[in-house]
Amino acid sequence: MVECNLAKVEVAGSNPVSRSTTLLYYFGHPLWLPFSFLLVGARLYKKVDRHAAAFLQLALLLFLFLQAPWTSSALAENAPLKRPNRVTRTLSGQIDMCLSCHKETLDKAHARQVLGCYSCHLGNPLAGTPEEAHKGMVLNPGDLRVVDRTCGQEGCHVQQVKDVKNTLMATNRGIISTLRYYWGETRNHNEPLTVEKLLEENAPKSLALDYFRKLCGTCHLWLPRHTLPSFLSAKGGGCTACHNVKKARDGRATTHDRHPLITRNIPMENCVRCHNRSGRIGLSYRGLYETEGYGTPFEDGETSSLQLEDGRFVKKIHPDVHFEKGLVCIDCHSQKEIMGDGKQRAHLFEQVEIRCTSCHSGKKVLERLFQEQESKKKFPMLNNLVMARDGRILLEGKKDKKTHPLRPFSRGKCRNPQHVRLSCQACHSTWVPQCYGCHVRFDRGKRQLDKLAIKKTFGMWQEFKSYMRFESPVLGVMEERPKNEDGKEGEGGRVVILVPG
Amino acid sequence: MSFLDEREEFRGTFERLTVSTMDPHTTTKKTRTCRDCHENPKSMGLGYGNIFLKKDGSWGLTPSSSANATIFGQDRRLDAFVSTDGAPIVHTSRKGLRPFNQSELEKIVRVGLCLPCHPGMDDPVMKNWKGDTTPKPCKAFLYMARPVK
Repeated sequence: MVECNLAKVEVAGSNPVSRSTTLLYYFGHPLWLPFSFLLVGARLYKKVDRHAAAFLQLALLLFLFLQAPWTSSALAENAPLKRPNRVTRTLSGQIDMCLSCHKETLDKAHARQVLGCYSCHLGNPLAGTPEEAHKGMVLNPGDLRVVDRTCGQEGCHVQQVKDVKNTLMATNRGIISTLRYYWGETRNHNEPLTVEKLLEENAPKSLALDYFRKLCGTCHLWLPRHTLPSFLSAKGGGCTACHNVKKARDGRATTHDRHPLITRNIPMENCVRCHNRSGRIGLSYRGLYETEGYGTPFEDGETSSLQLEDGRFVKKIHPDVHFEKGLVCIDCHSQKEIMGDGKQRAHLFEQVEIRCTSCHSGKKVLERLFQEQESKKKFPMLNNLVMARDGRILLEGKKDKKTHPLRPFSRGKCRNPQHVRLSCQACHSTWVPQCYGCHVRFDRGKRQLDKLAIKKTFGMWQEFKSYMRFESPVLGVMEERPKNEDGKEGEGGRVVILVPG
Repeated sequence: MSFLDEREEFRGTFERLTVSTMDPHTTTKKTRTCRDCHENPKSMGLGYGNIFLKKDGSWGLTPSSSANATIFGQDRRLDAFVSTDGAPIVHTSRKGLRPFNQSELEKIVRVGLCLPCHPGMDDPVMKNWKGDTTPKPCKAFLYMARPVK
């Protein structure tokens, strides 16, 4: 960063009144104390009626309150403003006057000396006053409405921003089309209706879409951050929904240095913030089973002591073996699956590529995946494979950097002719959350927050759950080809887990 | 789903029970047991209950849950996805996804009959299992499945 000396200039400006000045004016006004003493003294010698004393006291207080803001701003208008005495620049030589006030620290790639503030937060980097500098600024550069000018600007993450807008986390196509298909509003299960289209003014309307707007509309990348109430405010935010992490509270992060860090090492908490309903995979993976709404008395006749931030009761049972080994979501689900490859897909199963057999098929498959990773292919399936000294290919955990052996499945048991149709999950997933008594109520007379339009509209949806179970996952068949060549229902396909919903 | 009007009075229902498939993300190294799938009607999609063998060799199910369990009058058990004759009683989320059909159910139940004496894949009977014909039905099975005179 280059800083040049600049003559200190004092100018009249609209400097905002500081909070301490206003408080001082209210309670430390020179008139307040002597007047109060006068009144108390007069009251003691019974010169003034007690009601009159109270009235005068209140009248003075009211006068001060009414006068204070006007007087304070009048004072402020005449107060001299100190301009920064240096021109601040980024390492590339760009003038970024924001840096003269903002001392926040970031990660290396986005360091303040490298990018400055303007590159991400926009505003006016040449302005000399905070008011001018903050005009047109964006608090969250990752918001998909502005991301083309911030994270996705030329020279930064152009392609990733284009890709992510087509990913299911931004479009929610699968949720929207499945909902409408289930409710009989469309026969097209692959409808190209997206969140972006529902945000338009003349967006289509229907009961299923109203349900989506009010219940499902909290989990998509178009949702502006910090607009919804309570725990929902942390959701959404475009790129920042995943890539932001709070600084560790180790004393270094002062009140003036609360800028979050930007990371590629997405912590599991960021994924689970959304992926904790529907299939509940974010909970199940950590061994958390969501119990009945009233809190099943699992603990000595008392409700579970574990509750999620939204009030749901959970019970700790057996977690996923990969979680026990320290693996997080991004260890298996890589960039192409999460941020997409630019192609818009209708359903999750079309976007997910990773299979159990990708890691657990043995040396040949692993060597192919390792070569794919080393060849710098644009979207390798896995990008955390490492080769050990003895030639074995291992998986390196992105969070803890520990290496894990990738053992092949048992040929004898898993390839037994009688069980060859079984998916890995059919045997190795020992429990799955199942809600058999889910019910929805639509109350036309009440209002509820539309999470896309961010305003309350008529029609309230309420979800009720009952008959929750976790044991004995039900099995069924996913046909590769639904009918045989002769038109009869075949017995091909994979044996998979069926869940209500 | 229940619909209430502006006065919060009940106006009707819309019902659809759908099942989908997913990876539960609850992987364990140790697998489910043979009996958990071959003797448990819940795992087969038949719902909670007990499977019994009839004297004519056919089999049936005594469900644990009531068919009128819901307050809105559905005459179905909520935990059952398929009937014992292999007819699906739920919708599925994807084309090609279905509960087991009758032929598959019978094969699964048939293995379950032998599991009390021949548990596990290490048992020679299970290791050499080739469907209904082999191994030859044992005396215990013949006794259990003897036809009604």
